Amino acid sequence: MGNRAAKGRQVTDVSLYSKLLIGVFLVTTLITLVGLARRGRLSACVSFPIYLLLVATLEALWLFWPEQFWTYAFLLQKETLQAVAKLLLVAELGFRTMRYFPGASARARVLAGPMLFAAAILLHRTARGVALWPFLTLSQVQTWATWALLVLTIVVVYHNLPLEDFHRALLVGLATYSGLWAAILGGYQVFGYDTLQRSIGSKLNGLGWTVLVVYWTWAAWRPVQQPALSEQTIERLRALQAAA
Amino acid sequence: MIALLLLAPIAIVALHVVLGQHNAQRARDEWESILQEASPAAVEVLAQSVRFDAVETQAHTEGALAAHARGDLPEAIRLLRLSYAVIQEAAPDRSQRLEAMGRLIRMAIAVTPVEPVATGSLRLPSLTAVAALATPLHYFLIHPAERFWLRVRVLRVGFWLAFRVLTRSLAEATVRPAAGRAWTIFDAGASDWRCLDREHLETFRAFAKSIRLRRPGLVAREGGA
Repeated sequence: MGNRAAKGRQVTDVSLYSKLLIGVFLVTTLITLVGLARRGRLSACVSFPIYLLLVATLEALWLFWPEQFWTYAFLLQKETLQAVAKLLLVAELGFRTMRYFPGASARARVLAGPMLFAAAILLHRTARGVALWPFLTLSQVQTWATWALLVLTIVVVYHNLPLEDFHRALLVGLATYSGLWAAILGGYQVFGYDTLQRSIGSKLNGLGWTVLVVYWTWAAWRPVQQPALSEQTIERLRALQAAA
Repeated sequence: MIALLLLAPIAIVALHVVLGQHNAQRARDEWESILQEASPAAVEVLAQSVRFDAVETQAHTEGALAAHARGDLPEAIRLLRLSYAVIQEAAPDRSQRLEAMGRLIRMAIAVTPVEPVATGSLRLPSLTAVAALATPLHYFLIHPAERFWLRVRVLRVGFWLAFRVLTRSLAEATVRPAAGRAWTIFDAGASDWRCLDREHLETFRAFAKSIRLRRPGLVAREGGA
Protein backbone atom coordinates (compact mmCIF):
# COMPACT_ATOMS: atom_id res chain seq x y z
CA MET A 1 0.00 0.00 0.00
CA GLY A 2 1.27 3.45 -0.80
CA ASN A 3 3.64 4.65 -3.41
CA ARG A 4 5.45 7.42 -1.61
CA ALA A 5 8.75 5.73 -2.30
CA ALA A 6 8.12 6.11 -5.99
CA LYS A 7 7.56 9.85 -5.72
CA GLY A 8 9.78 11.88 -8.01
CA ARG A 9 11.12 9.01 -10.04
CA GLN A 10 10.41 8.17 -13.66
CA VAL A 11 7.25 6.10 -13.65
CA THR A 12 7.58 4.21 -16.86
CA ASP A 13 8.16 4.74 -20.56
CA VAL A 14 5.33 6.14 -22.62
CA SER A 15 3.90 3.19 -24.48
CA LEU A 16 2.78 3.39 -28.08
CA TYR A 17 -0.78 2.78 -26.92
CA SER A 18 -0.60 5.77 -24.57
CA LYS A 19 0.95 7.94 -27.29
CA LEU A 20 -1.81 6.95 -29.67
CA LEU A 21 -4.55 7.71 -27.14
CA ILE A 22 -3.06 11.05 -26.18
CA GLY A 23 -2.71 11.92 -29.86
CA VAL A 24 -6.36 11.03 -30.50
CA PHE A 25 -7.35 13.03 -27.44
CA LEU A 26 -5.44 16.12 -28.56
CA VAL A 27 -7.01 15.99 -32.01
CA THR A 28 -10.54 15.41 -30.68
CA THR A 29 -10.07 18.18 -28.13
CA LEU A 30 -9.23 20.56 -30.94
CA ILE A 31 -12.26 19.39 -32.92
CA THR A 32 -14.43 19.78 -29.81
CA LEU A 33 -13.23 23.32 -29.19
CA VAL A 34 -13.87 24.27 -32.82
CA GLY A 35 -17.32 22.67 -32.52
CA LEU A 36 -18.06 24.64 -29.37
CA ALA A 37 -17.09 27.85 -31.13
CA ARG A 38 -19.01 27.03 -34.31
CA ARG A 39 -22.20 26.14 -32.45
CA GLY A 40 -21.91 29.06 -30.06
CA ARG A 41 -21.43 26.81 -27.04
CA LEU A 42 -18.22 28.25 -25.65
CA SER A 43 -20.23 30.21 -23.11
CA ALA A 44 -22.69 27.39 -22.41
CA CYS A 45 -20.31 26.23 -19.69
CA VAL A 46 -17.19 28.38 -19.56
CA SER A 47 -15.20 26.00 -17.38
CA PHE A 48 -15.65 23.16 -19.87
CA PRO A 49 -13.29 24.48 -22.59
CA ILE A 50 -10.90 25.55 -19.81
CA TYR A 51 -11.02 22.04 -18.38
CA LEU A 52 -10.44 20.49 -21.81
CA LEU A 53 -7.55 22.86 -22.57
CA LEU A 54 -5.97 22.16 -19.20
CA VAL A 55 -6.17 18.40 -19.64
CA ALA A 56 -4.88 18.69 -23.21
CA THR A 57 -1.95 20.83 -22.10
CA LEU A 58 -1.00 18.44 -19.32
CA GLU A 59 -1.34 15.43 -21.62
CA ALA A 60 0.75 17.21 -24.27
CA LEU A 61 3.50 17.76 -21.71
CA TRP A 62 3.46 14.02 -21.12
CA LEU A 63 3.49 13.19 -24.79
CA PHE A 64 6.15 15.62 -25.98
CA TRP A 65 8.49 15.77 -22.97
CA PRO A 66 8.15 12.36 -21.35
CA GLU A 67 11.65 12.36 -19.86
CA GLN A 68 10.71 15.47 -17.88
CA PHE A 69 7.04 14.96 -17.13
CA TRP A 70 6.37 11.21 -17.19
CA THR A 71 6.94 11.01 -13.45
CA TYR A 72 5.00 10.00 -10.40
CA ALA A 73 5.23 13.50 -8.91
CA PHE A 74 3.93 15.12 -12.09
CA LEU A 75 1.14 12.56 -12.28
CA LEU A 76 -0.06 13.62 -8.83
CA GLN A 77 0.19 17.32 -9.68
CA LYS A 78 -1.58 16.75 -12.97
CA GLU A 79 -4.40 14.82 -11.34
CA THR A 80 -4.76 17.45 -8.62
CA LEU A 81 -4.98 20.27 -11.16
CA GLN A 82 -7.46 18.37 -13.29
CA ALA A 83 -9.57 17.58 -10.23
CA VAL A 84 -9.69 21.28 -9.33
CA ALA A 85 -10.86 22.08 -12.85
CA LYS A 86 -13.39 19.27 -12.66
CA LEU A 87 -14.86 20.54 -9.39
CA LEU A 88 -15.20 23.99 -10.92
CA LEU A 89 -16.92 22.41 -13.89
CA VAL A 90 -19.35 20.54 -11.60
CA ALA A 91 -20.08 23.76 -9.72
CA GLU A 92 -20.69 25.72 -12.92
CA LEU A 93 -22.87 22.96 -14.34
CA GLY A 94 -24.98 23.06 -11.19
CA PHE A 95 -25.17 26.85 -11.29
CA ARG A 96 -26.15 27.01 -14.95
CA THR A 97 -28.76 24.29 -14.63
CA MET A 98 -30.42 25.86 -11.59
CA ARG A 99 -29.79 29.57 -11.96
CA TYR A 100 -33.45 30.39 -12.61
CA PHE A 101 -34.69 28.06 -9.86
CA PRO A 102 -33.69 29.36 -6.43
CA GLY A 103 -35.57 26.64 -4.52
CA ALA A 104 -33.91 23.81 -6.40
CA SER A 105 -30.60 25.63 -6.27
CA ALA A 106 -30.80 25.95 -2.48
CA ARG A 107 -31.55 22.25 -2.16
CA ALA A 108 -28.67 21.34 -4.46
CA ARG A 109 -26.30 23.59 -2.52
CA VAL A 110 -27.28 21.99 0.77
CA LEU A 111 -26.88 18.46 -0.61
CA ALA A 112 -23.96 18.76 -3.03
CA GLY A 113 -22.13 21.64 -1.36
CA PRO A 114 -20.66 19.53 1.47
CA MET A 115 -19.53 16.93 -1.08
CA LEU A 116 -17.67 19.51 -3.14
CA PHE A 117 -16.29 21.04 0.04
CA ALA A 118 -15.02 17.63 1.20
CA ALA A 119 -13.45 17.10 -2.21
CA ALA A 120 -11.78 20.53 -2.02
CA ILE A 121 -10.32 19.71 1.43
CA LEU A 122 -8.96 16.41 0.13
CA LEU A 123 -7.46 18.17 -2.88
CA HIS A 124 -5.85 20.71 -0.62
CA ARG A 125 -4.22 17.89 1.34
CA THR A 126 -2.97 16.27 -1.85
CA ALA A 127 -1.62 19.55 -3.18
CA ARG A 128 0.26 20.17 0.07
CA GLY A 129 1.66 16.66 -0.11
CA VAL A 130 0.28 15.67 3.27
CA ALA A 131 -2.11 13.01 1.97
CA LEU A 132 -0.95 9.66 3.30
CA TRP A 133 -2.30 7.76 0.33
CA PRO A 134 -2.48 10.30 -2.50
CA PHE A 135 -4.13 8.03 -5.06
CA LEU A 136 -6.81 7.05 -2.61
CA THR A 137 -7.34 10.71 -1.73
CA LEU A 138 -7.64 11.62 -5.40
CA SER A 139 -9.98 8.67 -5.86
CA GLN A 140 -12.16 10.05 -3.07
CA VAL A 141 -12.16 13.45 -4.75
CA GLN A 142 -13.46 11.83 -7.94
CA THR A 143 -15.99 9.87 -5.91
CA TRP A 144 -17.29 13.04 -4.24
CA ALA A 145 -17.47 14.76 -7.63
CA THR A 146 -19.48 11.82 -9.01
CA TRP A 147 -21.84 11.89 -6.03
CA ALA A 148 -22.23 15.64 -6.34
CA LEU A 149 -23.23 15.12 -9.98
CA LEU A 150 -25.67 12.42 -8.90
CA VAL A 151 -27.22 14.83 -6.40
CA LEU A 152 -27.52 17.49 -9.11
CA THR A 153 -29.23 14.95 -11.33
CA ILE A 154 -31.66 13.95 -8.58
CA VAL A 155 -32.54 17.60 -7.92
CA VAL A 156 -33.01 18.18 -11.66
CA VAL A 157 -35.31 15.19 -12.00
CA TYR A 158 -37.18 15.83 -8.74
CA HIS A 159 -37.95 19.43 -9.65
CA ASN A 160 -38.40 18.56 -13.31
CA LEU A 161 -35.92 21.23 -14.31
CA PRO A 162 -35.19 21.78 -17.97
CA LEU A 163 -31.75 20.57 -18.96
CA GLU A 164 -29.89 21.69 -22.07
CA ASP A 165 -28.81 18.79 -24.27
CA PHE A 166 -25.23 19.96 -24.05
CA HIS A 167 -25.34 20.20 -20.25
CA ARG A 168 -26.85 16.75 -20.15
CA ALA A 169 -23.95 15.43 -22.23
CA LEU A 170 -21.48 17.12 -19.86
CA LEU A 171 -23.26 15.73 -16.82
CA VAL A 172 -23.48 12.17 -18.09
CA GLY A 173 -19.95 12.12 -19.50
CA LEU A 174 -18.31 13.74 -16.54
CA ALA A 175 -20.06 11.57 -13.97
CA THR A 176 -19.40 8.34 -15.84
CA TYR A 177 -15.75 9.10 -16.40
CA SER A 178 -15.20 10.44 -12.88
CA GLY A 179 -16.71 7.29 -11.43
CA LEU A 180 -14.53 5.09 -13.60
CA TRP A 181 -11.43 7.14 -12.81
CA ALA A 182 -12.24 7.06 -9.09
CA ALA A 183 -12.28 3.27 -9.17
CA ILE A 184 -9.01 3.13 -11.13
CA LEU A 185 -7.24 5.65 -8.85
CA GLY A 186 -8.41 3.74 -5.81
CA GLY A 187 -7.17 0.58 -7.47
CA TYR A 188 -3.73 2.17 -7.90
CA GLN A 189 -3.57 2.61 -4.15
CA VAL A 190 -4.99 -0.78 -3.25
CA PHE A 191 -3.15 -2.93 -5.78
CA GLY A 192 -0.07 -0.78 -6.30
CA TYR A 193 0.43 1.89 -8.90
CA ASP A 194 3.09 0.14 -10.95
CA THR A 195 1.16 -3.13 -11.14
CA LEU A 196 -2.19 -1.69 -12.08
CA GLN A 197 -0.89 1.12 -14.26
CA ARG A 198 1.14 -1.33 -16.34
CA SER A 199 -1.70 -3.84 -16.62
CA ILE A 200 -5.16 -2.40 -17.09
CA GLY A 201 -5.34 0.93 -15.30
CA SER A 202 -3.71 2.99 -17.98
CA LYS A 203 -5.48 1.22 -20.85
CA LEU A 204 -8.90 1.44 -19.24
CA ASN A 205 -8.50 5.05 -18.27
CA GLY A 206 -7.12 6.02 -21.68
CA LEU A 207 -9.93 4.23 -23.46
CA GLY A 208 -12.58 5.69 -21.14
CA TRP A 209 -11.25 9.20 -21.57
CA THR A 210 -11.04 8.87 -25.35
CA VAL A 211 -14.61 7.61 -25.57
CA LEU A 212 -15.69 10.49 -23.34
CA VAL A 213 -13.99 13.13 -25.47
CA VAL A 214 -15.40 11.64 -28.67
CA TYR A 215 -18.85 11.79 -27.02
CA TRP A 216 -18.27 15.40 -26.05
CA THR A 217 -17.06 16.15 -29.59
CA TRP A 218 -20.37 14.82 -30.88
CA ALA A 219 -22.24 16.89 -28.27
CA ALA A 220 -20.26 20.01 -29.16
CA TRP A 221 -20.94 19.67 -32.88
CA ARG A 222 -24.54 18.58 -32.55
CA PRO A 223 -26.84 21.23 -34.01
CA VAL A 224 -28.54 23.26 -31.31
CA GLN A 225 -31.91 21.69 -30.58
CA GLN A 226 -34.75 23.50 -28.93
CA PRO A 227 -33.43 25.60 -26.02
CA ALA A 228 -34.22 24.25 -22.56
CA LEU A 229 -36.47 27.25 -21.88
CA SER A 230 -37.95 29.85 -24.18
CA GLU A 231 -36.95 33.50 -23.77
CA GLN A 232 -40.46 34.27 -22.58
CA THR A 233 -40.29 31.65 -19.83
CA ILE A 234 -36.85 32.82 -18.76
CA GLU A 235 -38.19 36.38 -18.51
CA ARG A 236 -41.06 35.15 -16.34
CA LEU A 237 -38.68 33.20 -14.10
CA ARG A 238 -36.45 36.25 -13.77
CA ALA A 239 -39.46 38.33 -12.84
CA LEU A 240 -40.36 35.79 -10.14
CA GLN A 241 -36.82 35.91 -8.79
CA ALA A 242 -36.75 39.69 -8.84
CA ALA A 243 -40.01 39.79 -6.92
CA ALA A 244 -38.80 37.30 -4.32
CA MET B 1 -11.11 -0.29 1.11
CA ILE B 2 -12.64 -2.23 -1.79
CA ALA B 3 -16.06 -0.96 -0.70
CA LEU B 4 -14.78 2.59 -1.12
CA LEU B 5 -13.90 1.80 -4.72
CA LEU B 6 -17.47 0.74 -5.37
CA LEU B 7 -19.01 4.01 -4.23
CA ALA B 8 -18.31 5.80 -7.50
CA PRO B 9 -19.59 3.02 -9.81
CA ILE B 10 -22.76 2.87 -7.69
CA ALA B 11 -23.21 6.60 -8.22
CA ILE B 12 -22.74 6.18 -11.99
CA VAL B 13 -25.46 3.53 -12.19
CA ALA B 14 -27.80 5.58 -9.99
CA LEU B 15 -27.19 8.70 -12.08
CA HIS B 16 -28.04 6.92 -15.32
CA VAL B 17 -31.17 5.41 -13.80
CA VAL B 18 -32.33 8.75 -12.38
CA LEU B 19 -31.51 10.73 -15.52
CA GLY B 20 -33.43 8.17 -17.56
CA GLN B 21 -36.57 9.52 -15.85
CA HIS B 22 -35.94 13.01 -17.16
CA ASN B 23 -37.59 14.20 -20.31
CA ALA B 24 -36.27 17.58 -21.41
CA GLN B 25 -39.13 18.29 -23.79
CA ARG B 26 -41.75 17.52 -21.14
CA ALA B 27 -39.92 19.66 -18.59
CA ARG B 28 -39.83 22.55 -21.03
CA ASP B 29 -43.52 22.22 -21.88
CA GLU B 30 -44.52 22.02 -18.25
CA TRP B 31 -42.48 25.04 -17.28
CA GLU B 32 -44.08 26.95 -20.12
CA SER B 33 -47.52 25.94 -18.96
CA ILE B 34 -46.91 26.45 -15.23
CA LEU B 35 -45.96 30.05 -15.84
CA GLN B 36 -48.56 30.83 -18.44
CA GLU B 37 -51.66 28.93 -17.45
CA ALA B 38 -51.80 29.33 -13.69
CA SER B 39 -53.26 32.78 -14.12
CA PRO B 40 -56.34 34.21 -12.37
CA ALA B 41 -58.15 33.99 -15.72
CA ALA B 42 -57.36 30.28 -15.98
CA VAL B 43 -58.70 29.70 -12.47
CA GLU B 44 -61.86 31.56 -13.33
CA VAL B 45 -62.34 29.54 -16.53
CA LEU B 46 -61.94 26.33 -14.56
CA ALA B 47 -64.28 27.57 -11.83
CA GLN B 48 -66.94 28.24 -14.47
CA SER B 49 -66.42 24.81 -15.96
CA VAL B 50 -66.75 23.15 -12.54
CA ARG B 51 -69.92 25.13 -11.78
CA PHE B 52 -71.41 24.37 -15.19
CA ASP B 53 -70.64 20.64 -14.97
CA ALA B 54 -72.02 20.50 -11.44
CA VAL B 55 -75.29 22.15 -12.47
CA GLU B 56 -75.63 19.88 -15.48
CA THR B 57 -74.91 16.61 -13.69
CA GLN B 58 -77.10 17.55 -10.75
CA ALA B 59 -80.00 18.56 -12.99
CA HIS B 60 -79.74 15.45 -15.16
CA THR B 61 -79.32 13.08 -12.21
CA GLU B 62 -82.22 14.62 -10.31
CA GLY B 63 -84.32 14.51 -13.47
CA ALA B 64 -83.37 10.87 -13.99
CA LEU B 65 -84.28 9.98 -10.40
CA ALA B 66 -87.59 11.80 -10.72
CA ALA B 67 -88.37 10.05 -14.01
CA HIS B 68 -87.43 6.72 -12.44
CA ALA B 69 -89.70 7.43 -9.49
CA ARG B 70 -92.68 8.08 -11.76
CA GLY B 71 -91.89 4.99 -13.85
CA ASP B 72 -90.71 6.76 -17.01
CA LEU B 73 -87.72 4.47 -17.44
CA PRO B 74 -86.63 5.44 -21.01
CA GLU B 75 -86.55 9.12 -20.01
CA ALA B 76 -84.77 8.23 -16.75
CA ILE B 77 -82.07 6.30 -18.60
CA ARG B 78 -81.71 9.07 -21.18
CA LEU B 79 -81.15 11.66 -18.47
CA LEU B 80 -78.80 9.32 -16.60
CA ARG B 81 -76.75 8.92 -19.75
CA LEU B 82 -76.67 12.68 -20.23
CA SER B 83 -75.38 13.11 -16.68
CA TYR B 84 -72.81 10.39 -17.28
CA ALA B 85 -71.76 12.00 -20.59
CA VAL B 86 -70.97 15.29 -18.85
CA ILE B 87 -68.76 13.48 -16.35
CA GLN B 88 -67.22 11.29 -19.04
CA GLU B 89 -66.30 14.36 -21.03
CA ALA B 90 -64.85 16.17 -18.02
CA ALA B 91 -62.93 13.18 -16.60
CA PRO B 92 -59.80 13.31 -18.82
CA ASP B 93 -59.44 17.04 -18.27
CA ARG B 94 -59.57 16.64 -14.47
CA SER B 95 -57.22 13.67 -14.52
CA GLN B 96 -54.69 15.46 -16.72
CA ARG B 97 -54.79 18.61 -14.62
CA LEU B 98 -54.29 16.70 -11.38
CA GLU B 99 -51.49 14.64 -12.88
CA ALA B 100 -49.74 17.77 -14.14
CA MET B 101 -50.19 19.55 -10.81
CA GLY B 102 -48.71 16.54 -9.00
CA ARG B 103 -45.56 16.96 -11.04
CA LEU B 104 -45.56 20.73 -11.27
CA ILE B 105 -45.96 21.39 -7.59
CA ARG B 106 -42.39 20.29 -7.00
CA MET B 107 -41.46 22.93 -9.51
CA ALA B 108 -43.34 25.65 -7.70
CA ILE B 109 -41.13 27.75 -5.51
CA ALA B 110 -43.69 28.73 -2.95
CA VAL B 111 -46.63 26.56 -2.01
CA THR B 112 -49.82 27.62 -0.32
CA PRO B 113 -50.68 25.22 2.55
CA VAL B 114 -53.59 22.99 1.61
CA GLU B 115 -56.18 21.15 3.67
CA PRO B 116 -56.89 17.43 3.31
CA VAL B 117 -59.78 16.39 1.06
CA ALA B 118 -63.00 16.87 3.02
CA THR B 119 -64.74 13.58 3.83
CA GLY B 120 -67.97 15.10 5.22
CA SER B 121 -69.89 15.46 1.99
CA LEU B 122 -68.73 12.24 0.32
CA ARG B 123 -71.30 9.47 0.00
CA LEU B 124 -69.56 6.52 -1.61
CA PRO B 125 -67.98 4.30 1.09
CA SER B 126 -64.87 3.56 -0.97
CA LEU B 127 -64.23 7.24 -1.60
CA THR B 128 -64.90 8.18 2.01
CA ALA B 129 -62.44 5.48 3.11
CA VAL B 130 -59.69 6.77 0.82
CA ALA B 131 -60.17 10.35 1.97
CA ALA B 132 -60.37 9.30 5.63
CA LEU B 133 -57.16 7.27 5.36
CA ALA B 134 -55.36 10.16 3.75
CA THR B 135 -56.38 12.69 6.40
CA PRO B 136 -54.05 11.49 9.22
CA LEU B 137 -51.29 11.00 6.66
CA HIS B 138 -51.80 14.61 5.57
CA TYR B 139 -51.07 15.85 9.10
CA PHE B 140 -48.12 13.47 9.39
CA LEU B 141 -46.46 15.06 6.37
CA ILE B 142 -44.59 18.24 7.15
CA HIS B 143 -43.59 19.73 3.85
CA PRO B 144 -46.40 21.67 2.12
CA ALA B 145 -45.39 20.22 -1.24
CA GLU B 146 -45.80 16.69 0.11
CA ARG B 147 -49.24 17.56 1.48
CA PHE B 148 -50.16 19.03 -1.85
CA TRP B 149 -48.94 15.92 -3.62
CA LEU B 150 -51.00 13.72 -1.29
CA ARG B 151 -54.11 15.80 -1.91
CA VAL B 152 -53.61 15.51 -5.66
CA ARG B 153 -53.17 11.74 -5.36
CA VAL B 154 -56.32 11.39 -3.26
CA LEU B 155 -58.28 13.43 -5.79
CA ARG B 156 -56.99 11.38 -8.70
CA VAL B 157 -57.89 8.12 -6.96
CA GLY B 158 -61.22 9.67 -5.96
CA PHE B 159 -62.08 10.67 -9.53
CA TRP B 160 -61.09 7.24 -10.75
CA LEU B 161 -63.26 5.50 -8.13
CA ALA B 162 -66.22 7.80 -8.75
CA PHE B 163 -66.00 7.36 -12.50
CA ARG B 164 -65.80 3.58 -12.11
CA VAL B 165 -68.85 3.55 -9.85
CA LEU B 166 -70.77 5.79 -12.26
CA THR B 167 -69.92 3.57 -15.25
CA ARG B 168 -70.98 0.42 -13.42
CA SER B 169 -74.17 1.87 -12.02
CA LEU B 170 -75.15 3.30 -15.42
CA ALA B 171 -74.62 -0.11 -16.98
CA GLU B 172 -76.65 -1.76 -14.22
CA ALA B 173 -79.43 0.84 -14.46
CA THR B 174 -79.59 0.32 -18.22
CA VAL B 175 -79.83 -3.47 -17.90
CA ARG B 176 -82.19 -3.47 -14.89
CA PRO B 177 -83.90 -0.08 -14.92
CA ALA B 178 -86.57 -1.08 -12.43
CA ALA B 179 -84.09 -1.86 -9.64
CA GLY B 180 -83.51 1.13 -7.40
CA ARG B 181 -79.99 0.36 -6.13
CA ALA B 182 -78.11 1.39 -9.26
CA TRP B 183 -79.95 4.73 -9.37
CA THR B 184 -79.09 5.48 -5.77
CA ILE B 185 -75.44 4.59 -6.35
CA PHE B 186 -75.32 6.72 -9.49
CA ASP B 187 -76.78 9.63 -7.56
CA ALA B 188 -74.17 9.17 -4.79
CA GLY B 189 -71.39 8.84 -7.38
CA ALA B 190 -72.47 11.96 -9.25
CA SER B 191 -72.72 13.86 -5.98
CA ASP B 192 -69.22 12.72 -4.98
CA TRP B 193 -67.95 13.66 -8.41
CA ARG B 194 -69.21 17.21 -7.94
CA CYS B 195 -67.66 17.30 -4.50
CA LEU B 196 -64.31 16.10 -5.87
CA ASP B 197 -64.58 18.59 -8.69
CA ARG B 198 -64.93 21.45 -6.21
CA GLU B 199 -61.94 20.13 -4.26
CA HIS B 200 -60.00 19.89 -7.50
CA LEU B 201 -60.88 23.50 -8.26
CA GLU B 202 -59.66 24.55 -4.80
CA THR B 203 -56.45 22.62 -5.41
CA PHE B 204 -55.90 24.39 -8.70
CA ARG B 205 -56.69 27.72 -7.03
CA ALA B 206 -54.05 27.03 -4.34
CA PHE B 207 -51.61 25.90 -6.98
CA ALA B 208 -52.09 29.00 -9.11
CA LYS B 209 -51.81 31.14 -6.01
CA SER B 210 -48.55 29.50 -5.00
CA ILE B 211 -47.12 30.35 -8.38
CA ARG B 212 -48.35 33.93 -8.23
CA LEU B 213 -47.28 34.58 -4.65
CA ARG B 214 -44.02 35.96 -5.86
CA ARG B 215 -45.64 38.41 -8.19
CA PRO B 216 -46.48 41.34 -5.95
CA GLY B 217 -48.42 43.09 -8.70
CA LEU B 218 -50.81 40.21 -9.03
CA VAL B 219 -51.17 39.71 -5.30
CA ALA B 220 -51.87 43.41 -4.85
CA ARG B 221 -54.53 43.36 -7.58
CA GLU B 222 -56.19 40.45 -5.82
CA GLY B 223 -56.20 42.31 -2.56
CA GLY B 224 -53.52 40.09 -1.07
CA ALA B 225 -55.61 36.98 -1.52
